[in-house]
Amino acid sequence: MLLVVGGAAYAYWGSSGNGTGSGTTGTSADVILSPGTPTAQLRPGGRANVVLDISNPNTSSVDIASLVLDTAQGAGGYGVDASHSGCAPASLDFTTQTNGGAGWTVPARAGAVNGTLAVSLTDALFMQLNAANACQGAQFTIYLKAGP
Amino acid sequence: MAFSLVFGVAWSSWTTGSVPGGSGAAAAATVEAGKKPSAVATSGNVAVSWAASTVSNGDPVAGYLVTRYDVATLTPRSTISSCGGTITTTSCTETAVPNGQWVYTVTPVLGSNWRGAESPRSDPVEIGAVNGPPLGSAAPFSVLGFTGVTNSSGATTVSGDLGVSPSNAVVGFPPGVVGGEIHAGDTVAAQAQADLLTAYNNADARTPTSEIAGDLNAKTLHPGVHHAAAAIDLTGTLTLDGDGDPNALFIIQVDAALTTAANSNVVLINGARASNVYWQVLGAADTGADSTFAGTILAKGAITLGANTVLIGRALSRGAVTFANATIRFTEALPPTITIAGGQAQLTKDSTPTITGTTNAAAGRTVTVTVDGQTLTTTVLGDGTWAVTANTLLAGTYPVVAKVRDAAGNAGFATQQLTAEINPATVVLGDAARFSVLGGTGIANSGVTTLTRDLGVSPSNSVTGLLQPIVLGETHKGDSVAAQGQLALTAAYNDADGRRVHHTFAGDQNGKTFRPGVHHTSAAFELTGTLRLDADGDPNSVFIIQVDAALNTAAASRVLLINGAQASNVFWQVQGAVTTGGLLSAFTGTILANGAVTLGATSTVNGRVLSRGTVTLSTNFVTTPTP
Repeated sequence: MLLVVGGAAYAYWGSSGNGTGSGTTGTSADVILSPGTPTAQLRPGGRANVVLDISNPNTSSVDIASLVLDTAQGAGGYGVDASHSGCAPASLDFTTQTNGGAGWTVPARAGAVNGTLAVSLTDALFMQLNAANACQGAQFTIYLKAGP
Repeated sequence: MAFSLVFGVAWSSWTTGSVPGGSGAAAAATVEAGKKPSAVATSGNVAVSWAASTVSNGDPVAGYLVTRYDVATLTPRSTISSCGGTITTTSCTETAVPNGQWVYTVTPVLGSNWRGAESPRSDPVEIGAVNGPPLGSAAPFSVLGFTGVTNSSGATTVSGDLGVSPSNAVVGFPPGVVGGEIHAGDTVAAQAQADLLTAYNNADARTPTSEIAGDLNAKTLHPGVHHAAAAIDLTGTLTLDGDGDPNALFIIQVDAALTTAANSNVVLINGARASNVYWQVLGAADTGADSTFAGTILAKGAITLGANTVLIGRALSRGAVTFANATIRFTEALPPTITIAGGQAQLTKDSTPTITGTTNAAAGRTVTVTVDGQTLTTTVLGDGTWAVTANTLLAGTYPVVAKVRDAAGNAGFATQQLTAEINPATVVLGDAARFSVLGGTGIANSGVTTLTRDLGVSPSNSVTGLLQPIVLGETHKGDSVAAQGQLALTAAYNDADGRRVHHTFAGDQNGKTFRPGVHHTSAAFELTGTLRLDADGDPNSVFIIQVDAALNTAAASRVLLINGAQASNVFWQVQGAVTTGGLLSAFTGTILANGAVTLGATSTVNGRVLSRGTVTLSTNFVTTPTP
């Protein structure tokens, strides 16, 4: 079998192969990750979902292969609300997410409205058993970035 | 061999990066507070049980820490045996509990560090016995007098019962507040006085273990019977040292007066408890202003607590008891709190309403609710709630009082005004129903008045000015029909007058809305504009308005029926004279008047005008519903 791929050297091709968009520039704008509204469910020795919204400013849908902790942000990738400053982020542990290897496809912008996708990363965040009592009721920011 | 050639056709999905600083969110749960435990003492052991607490995400907690406190000092003690460490169930039994009076708490635990809030303390349990003077039926009394009990000023709070006998003089409540019951000259107080005398004599007969005299300031007494042959003073602080024994008994015999100075204190240390301290005083017992005192005062003479005195114990006297802005309770711990759902005022349309509430008293404690002469009892549930259902209530407003006591006898209470907005029975008009206008001493008319039903007068037969009336019914002047009508009017008037009030009002009712029920004013009824009668969609809704004086409405005033209200179900029982406004005045309902009725010129009535006096008409239109 001979497979020949021709044409311009685009940045990355999507894996889905759907649609017939022109894609002539070969580049795309970065998506924007913003926190969703979580339910309070994290407890010592337990896991909880991380919720976020992904916003796509491109006219084509984009694929996100993975979501990884952005350790360059916050305190090693974590933040806690001001009223729970006694809660050390060291008690948290985020697991890189790939949606079971399928990643996520974020819809294209429609007119002036960015495409959006609400994502709930099931049990992505773990809290150590020794988490401080001050962590009760805390709101956590999990800094993430789209990974390859 | 197959070839797959793909040239420059752009697919729609790109794989891309993300803007730095993006984030997701997560939130942590919380641990519910511990539930107030129940503690039951048996032969030196204490069985502690409590309701489960949970995590806010629904998960169970990992366990509980159980803590025991000395009631007197509220000092925490480590529990032992099966109550030690983290308890993974919701009960435990602590064995070999030291003598004393104890309370327990539970604290939910999750992980290494998460804790729920510590529970409220259990009611006290007592281990071991103290051979104090036998108070008998005087024990529930915080205050007991012989010749009178007086709160001279301020909001004195008494957590237990207050009684006086043989006198029945209780003065100053309110503003004073009694958490328990007030027994003024009744048999309960009489028995308590008899038992007080027994306890006094018992304490008096004890053999002294030490002699004391003079000022007790800066002195320390240890358990025993301490005797003073003369008056005792306290100008500063007296310390009662229990020597580590929570059952330590102190009896202080004073053969004269006991007097403490302002700001003086009785301090309990090393296990000493106010409930084990007795002051047997032959003379008067006086505390200074802003002082604190501990123990049960058994006084032959009068007891006077200075302003702002805090007494942890009892003031039991064979004379008078007087205080001002004092606080008297059995324990350092505050009395239980209790609430009634709905707060200070509640409305119900249920004739057998269920009254509910919450309390921090221990599960199983008795809650007593009084309403409309009914005494209803129930017990506190594990979650601190309680509920009782009243027997049938008629329409009206009722004071509701809910009380609960802790094991020490301290009582908490809550009050509420409960309005039963229950449709009252209609007022039966009987033989008076046929009349549009019925007078007693005469009827005078001017102009063209129209009556859709009968005109009557009795015992008079005087009808004047009716040269041009339009009476669509019959006219009865001094005849038996009118006489029967007057009898029925009297019965209806008395019926309406005797109904239980559920709403009181005063002044001008312009802009007001009455709901079904019995409305009462002890003064004149005034209406300068519009009063609405709202039936809430029930055409059988009955409105009874009781007016203890005159009824006056202004020109252009109106009584409007809304939401299904019917004129035939509206009754105005008026003791004084009735005068309706003139032009454009529109009145609605049956007027049951003890006095004269004067309808303003050209005014209308949708109902009846029934009077035991004179009715004066002036070009009116009276539309009377069919009986």
